[in-house]
Amino acid sequence: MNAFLQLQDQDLQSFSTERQHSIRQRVERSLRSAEHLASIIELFGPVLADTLNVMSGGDTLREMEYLSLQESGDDDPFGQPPPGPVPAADLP
Amino acid sequence: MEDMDLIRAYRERKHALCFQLLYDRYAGRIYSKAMTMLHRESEAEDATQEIFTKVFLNLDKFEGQSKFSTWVYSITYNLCIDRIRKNKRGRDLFAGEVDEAPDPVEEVPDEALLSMQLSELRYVLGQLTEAERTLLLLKYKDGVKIKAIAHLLGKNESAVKMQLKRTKEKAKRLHDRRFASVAS
Repeated sequence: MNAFLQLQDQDLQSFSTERQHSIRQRVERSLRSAEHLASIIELFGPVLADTLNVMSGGDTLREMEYLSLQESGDDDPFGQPPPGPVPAADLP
Repeated sequence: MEDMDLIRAYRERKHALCFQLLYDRYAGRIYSKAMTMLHRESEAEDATQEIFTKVFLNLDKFEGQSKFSTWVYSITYNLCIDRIRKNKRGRDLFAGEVDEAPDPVEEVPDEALLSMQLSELRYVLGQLTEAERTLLLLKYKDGVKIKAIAHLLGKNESAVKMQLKRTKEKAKRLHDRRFASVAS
């Protein structure tokens, strides 16, 4: 083995004994951070873009159901007043 | 397991084992190449981390047209070149010697360098400029072809050949001056 290859061998040995583990942990950490950031952007990015678009006067780009307040909103599904007491004549 | 199988498995499941296998397969060689270019252990460490982060974040872009190792090494060299440029050490590395006429001196054979002892080589490398050291290490330690070195350094092949020839002569001269007298 010539001296250049011995140098390479020494680099490899120094890496595997001292640095391999710590650098792998650093790479894993930075990958986790990048993926976390990417998933946040993936989740909220389109909604944020759509919100900004609507706020600046455009139409919504996404098929989303936006909740709004209803003036007559209550829990009664039929809009009828509750039934009063039954007249005595109608009683069996 | 082939590289491509590991890459496919990592893409599909982001499995930690695939990451570890690919990392273990290439990390040492990438570190060694970063040492060739950057010469400092701390810089080579940082570069290795950055290269691997880049490789795994861009794994979807690897189409398998070239070997995975070729792709990884090109990322390695490009990142190291960027770092050298940022540190403004690039002036030395990328200085032109393109138009100079070839030297009439006979070329030093590769064996003259390859037969040096490790301690002798370390001495000689220590006496060379950063550009000369990088050139010798790229050629003889990492086995990078002249064409690829020219591409990396932004020079033409004849300029690289000329620079390599002069560097070999200088290395031989430095070696003989220091060690030939000891031997005789």
